Amino acid sequence: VSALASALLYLLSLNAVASALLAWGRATPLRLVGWAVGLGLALALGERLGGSLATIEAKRRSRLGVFLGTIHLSVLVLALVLAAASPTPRLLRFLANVLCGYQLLVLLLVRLTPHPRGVVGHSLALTALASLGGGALAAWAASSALGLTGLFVGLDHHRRLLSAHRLPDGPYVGRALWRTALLVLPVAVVVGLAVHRAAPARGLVAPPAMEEGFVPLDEQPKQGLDTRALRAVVVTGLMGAVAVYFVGRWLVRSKRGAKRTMEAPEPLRGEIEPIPEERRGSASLPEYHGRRGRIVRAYLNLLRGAERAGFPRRPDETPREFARALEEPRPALGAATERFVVARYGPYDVDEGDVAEAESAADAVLGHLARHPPRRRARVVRDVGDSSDWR
Amino acid sequence: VDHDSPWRGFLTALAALAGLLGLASGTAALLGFALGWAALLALAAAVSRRSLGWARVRRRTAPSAFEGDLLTVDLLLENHGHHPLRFALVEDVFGAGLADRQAVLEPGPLPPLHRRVLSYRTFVARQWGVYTLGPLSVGRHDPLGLFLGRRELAGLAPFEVFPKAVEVEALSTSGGRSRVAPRDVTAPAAGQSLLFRGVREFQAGDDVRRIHWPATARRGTPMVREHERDLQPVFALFLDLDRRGRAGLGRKSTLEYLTRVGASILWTAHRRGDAFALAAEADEPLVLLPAQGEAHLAAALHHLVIARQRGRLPLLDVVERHGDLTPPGATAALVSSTTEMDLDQLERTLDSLRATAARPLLVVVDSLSFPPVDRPPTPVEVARELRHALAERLRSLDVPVAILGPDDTAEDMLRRPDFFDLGRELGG
Repeated sequence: VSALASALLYLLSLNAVASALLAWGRATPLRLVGWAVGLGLALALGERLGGSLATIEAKRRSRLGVFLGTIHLSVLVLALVLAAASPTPRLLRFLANVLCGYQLLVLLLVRLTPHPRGVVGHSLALTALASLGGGALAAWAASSALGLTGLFVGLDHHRRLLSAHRLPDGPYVGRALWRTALLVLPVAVVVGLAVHRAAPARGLVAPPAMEEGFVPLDEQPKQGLDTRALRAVVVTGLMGAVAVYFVGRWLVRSKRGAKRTMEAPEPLRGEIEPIPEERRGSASLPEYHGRRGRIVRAYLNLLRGAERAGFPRRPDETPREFARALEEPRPALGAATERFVVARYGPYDVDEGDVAEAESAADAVLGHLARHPPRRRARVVRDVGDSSDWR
Repeated sequence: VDHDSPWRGFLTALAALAGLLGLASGTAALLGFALGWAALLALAAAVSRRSLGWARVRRRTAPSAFEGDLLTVDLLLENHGHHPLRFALVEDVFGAGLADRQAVLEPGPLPPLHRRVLSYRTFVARQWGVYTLGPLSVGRHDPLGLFLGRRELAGLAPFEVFPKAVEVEALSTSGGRSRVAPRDVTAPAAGQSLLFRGVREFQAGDDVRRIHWPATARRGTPMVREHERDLQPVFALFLDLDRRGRAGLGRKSTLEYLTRVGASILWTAHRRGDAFALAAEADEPLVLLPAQGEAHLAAALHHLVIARQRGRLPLLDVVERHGDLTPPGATAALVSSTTEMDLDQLERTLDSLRATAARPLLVVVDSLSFPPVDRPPTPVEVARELRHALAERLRSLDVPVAILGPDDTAEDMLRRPDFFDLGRELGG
């Protein structure tokens, strides 16, 4: 997970640098490949430098991080405000070049603080600079930055979580990436499409640069260059990310043999075993079949919805008591409750009409709870164990 | 484990800045980024609150431990749902530890209707007393780790921390067992030992559990089993919980010393295999009949850690009232909280103990040398005089005695082989 997080950090940096350069700087494929290599080297050096930085006392490191972070943030905010307030080609190009160069330094100090906020913040600042240009590139910059940042944050969280519990992160890489991607990527794609639809053309166009002087026609940048440069940056970025991933893995594995501190006990986890039959009955979700089952399931859905809305059923509450406590919507709640009581405890069979009535009543209650959340109710603590040795 | 995400606040601030900049400059991409992050936050919060209703957790651990013990607490996580459980975080509160919140992670997948024992180890870092275990909770982070949805379960339970018990070496020469050569441990008389003696007819007051049914069937009248009398050495501890012995505060209080000395004496008796008894009078009489075993020790220590100096009966009266706890051959340890004792009554009590072939010994916590809490201070000379007089009298009676003051550390003193000689030297 650590190697993958590093690779994502690299991709985020490269994407931001490339976006800023494509938007405002002079971006040629060769130059972008150079940046990709440079950023990769800076990150690798930064990761290696982390060991040396770790020898500095944590408090001192933290102070230094806060000091540098404050200066960094001030500079970035000033630069972005300047860029948005008076966008001249010279200024924007200058800012893009300076901030891209600064990204190398930020990557070198990636392990100065426990969380690489500097790298992420700086990358987002470059993305913001690129976004000021508008158009497809801005949409790409915003959505890719959102996606990569989200993926990185998710992987970083899983890394921290597993490491805090002294669990090897290897077996959980795929699951961590999948969980994170499932949440982040749809949002990023939607953002990208929405931004592109909202502002398809370049918005903040810098006025023609009179001070640039005469540039021969054949030396002027062509529109087609952007596409080639973008392709180059994607290919180089992916290759660089793969390289960073493998270098990261190699670094992690090279440290595996290092002695652990005495205070790091192994996690204590037993084997997975089936729950004994006698324990299942009381707590498992019972299987209900047929029409009765559909009514019971509808009512259980209602209870779950109420719980989500902050009004959980108390363990000692009967269905009717619960309906009285929840109060609204009275007719639908009453119908759902009565249908449930009949289906669950009644001696007679229920028909399709009862099922339809129960399901529509439960849906009506859930709809009402979504529109008018009930007052929050304190959760009643339940006794979790009845066995004498499990307390 | 730190549950606060290092990214939530930071990225939210950056997204807000981006949104402001986007609004000011009319840049759709920046606005889109800010709104996208807000959507991610909302989604993450919603995902983290998804119910873990089918996860159950139970705890298994010893109900008590000694100060400084390393304890393993097992948490049994059960998945009663229909889907595998992943990245479930089980939290417990261990009140007797230095870091009271403990968390264990089940990365999963824990299949439906399966369970796994997760454990944590912790030091019992707090001083003796009664603490709380729990509540237990089970939770899960959203995939980005921005929010933690947590469901609190019950699992509240008391946890007793006993004073760190040290083996009182000086008792090795004054215990009941080592006085004579190896001997029978039971007597051929009716008693409570495990050795079967025979059957006899049922008499009023006999325990019905002792009815011997085959013999009853043969004889046609109820018959009961008889066991031989137990001659295990008995060690009786008489503890002074008289309110007049209260002095000092916190770790330098007479209650602290009484409890620590009492726990160590009981521990030593237990380790030696003696049957031990406890008698004290606080708000109400506290009597533990002689018995052996770990459960009995735990019961005795439980009474020690919840005891308070609220009694009105002096120690010597307690000994007199519960004299039946010292059968012949027993050792009677009297732990007093004061040197202000009626020496003549003390002598009579010790004589009566000796008359039943019991062997008395005395540990005195000199409350007069502790800072007083509810009475004026006693002049140093008077306190010293009383201490000397007590030691002198006990020396003349040849009774082992130890006198502890606030400058003594109970554990260190109890470990000394000459623990009971120090008091006598004081008297000499």
